[in-house]
Amino acid sequence: MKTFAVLTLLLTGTLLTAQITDNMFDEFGGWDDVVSLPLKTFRSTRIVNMQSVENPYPGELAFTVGHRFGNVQRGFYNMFGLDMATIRLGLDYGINSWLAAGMGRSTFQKNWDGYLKARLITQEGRLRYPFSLTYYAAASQATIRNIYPEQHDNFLDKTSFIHSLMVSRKFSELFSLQISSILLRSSYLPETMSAVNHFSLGAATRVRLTPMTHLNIEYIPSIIDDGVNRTNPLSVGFDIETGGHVFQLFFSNTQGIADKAWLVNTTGQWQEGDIFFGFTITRVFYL
Amino acid sequence: MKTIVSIVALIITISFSGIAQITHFTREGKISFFSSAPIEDIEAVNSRVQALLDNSSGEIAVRMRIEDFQFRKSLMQKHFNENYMESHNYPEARFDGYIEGFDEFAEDGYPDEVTVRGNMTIRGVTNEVAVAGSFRRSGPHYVCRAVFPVSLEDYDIRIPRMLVRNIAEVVEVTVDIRLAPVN
Repeated sequence: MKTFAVLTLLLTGTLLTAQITDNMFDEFGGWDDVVSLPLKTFRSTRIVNMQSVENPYPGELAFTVGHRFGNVQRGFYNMFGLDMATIRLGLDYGINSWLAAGMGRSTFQKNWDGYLKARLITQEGRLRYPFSLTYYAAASQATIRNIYPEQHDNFLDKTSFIHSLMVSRKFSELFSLQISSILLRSSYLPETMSAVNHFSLGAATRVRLTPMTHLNIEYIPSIIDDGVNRTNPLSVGFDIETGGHVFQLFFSNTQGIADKAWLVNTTGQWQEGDIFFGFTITRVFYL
Repeated sequence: MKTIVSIVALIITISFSGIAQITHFTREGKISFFSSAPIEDIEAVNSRVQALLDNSSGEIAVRMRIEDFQFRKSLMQKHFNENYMESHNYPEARFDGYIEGFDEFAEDGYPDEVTVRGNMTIRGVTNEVAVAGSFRRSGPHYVCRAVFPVSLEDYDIRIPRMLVRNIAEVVEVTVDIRLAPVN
């Protein structure tokens, strides 16, 4: 009987400390809308080669160093391709909550590129959209000499433009999906000896492996036949976050680092073992 | 007979203890934390902390949303939510307890130095804690201030080994809450 009385006392004691319920809080107005950051559908502004719907946060300057190495089949003598690297150095800047701008220079055809990227719709946000929509417009200028035929070795023929509209949804912290339409307009392509309008439809997914590492798969089939002999880029990569850096390591059947290069000049075939290793390191600075 | 008495007593206590009379509240309490590590200092503030007080019993409950913590660097805020606090799984942190030796008829500026005891829940892990701080009457209001350490390990918040020099194992939490009378 005494134990029962003690139990009663104990119970009273515990109950006394847990009386104020969530309902009582809600009577005083509950929660306001959270002012949260846009949720990260992908960890970086690029998935592997393709742009993701993400922009740098406002005021963030991201410096990217990208390397694409040679064919892994080249064996130990060429360190499985590591001896042949093409690189791109880039800067991406978050102008405000919806607009970002960036530029870069890659060794592929001594290519300069610049872009604007606008987040038109952000998943959730104030209007609770179920998906994100981002528009990307880029111009690139090859400055390499003596590769284009003489009559096309001028500034305008080495210019190309890319427009991309991408839709993505973050289904959970574990999984995101993106579909991108990519249009490339090139004034002149040495491969076809003509102007080219190229259209690709890319699909990509992110799967969380650990809180700071993610697996990305990206496939970018071309939809219209523009006469260029190529294969469709398929890439598998890992995003590794470490505080202010994101390391992206990947294998792909394309060695291209500039947008135009992987859209037009992809020739590798996975089944033949034509695989290229590459990485992109992104470091964020605050201005 | 005694059994029945005890059961009745139990029922009465349970039913009575369910009724806390909220006398003071706030939706704009401030809780911040500060982490000092060799590589960098990290600070974040949540200015939308909610608190309820029953000044007849000294019971107090505090709740806050993890996503409401604002950092100077957006990237830190992202990592805080997604990697460390997992705010999508554990959106709220909460404290339920009572103020020891609380006197509802205390004069202005008192009872001052108090100990608040209760259960603190962060990231789904509940620990029993006792926090020393100041709790003063100020006219019809109560002003509550406290600074206390929180060990990340106690709440199962894991820091990757690569970042142990960026994030402190024990962070300093500062509470600044002003409770207004109901009505």
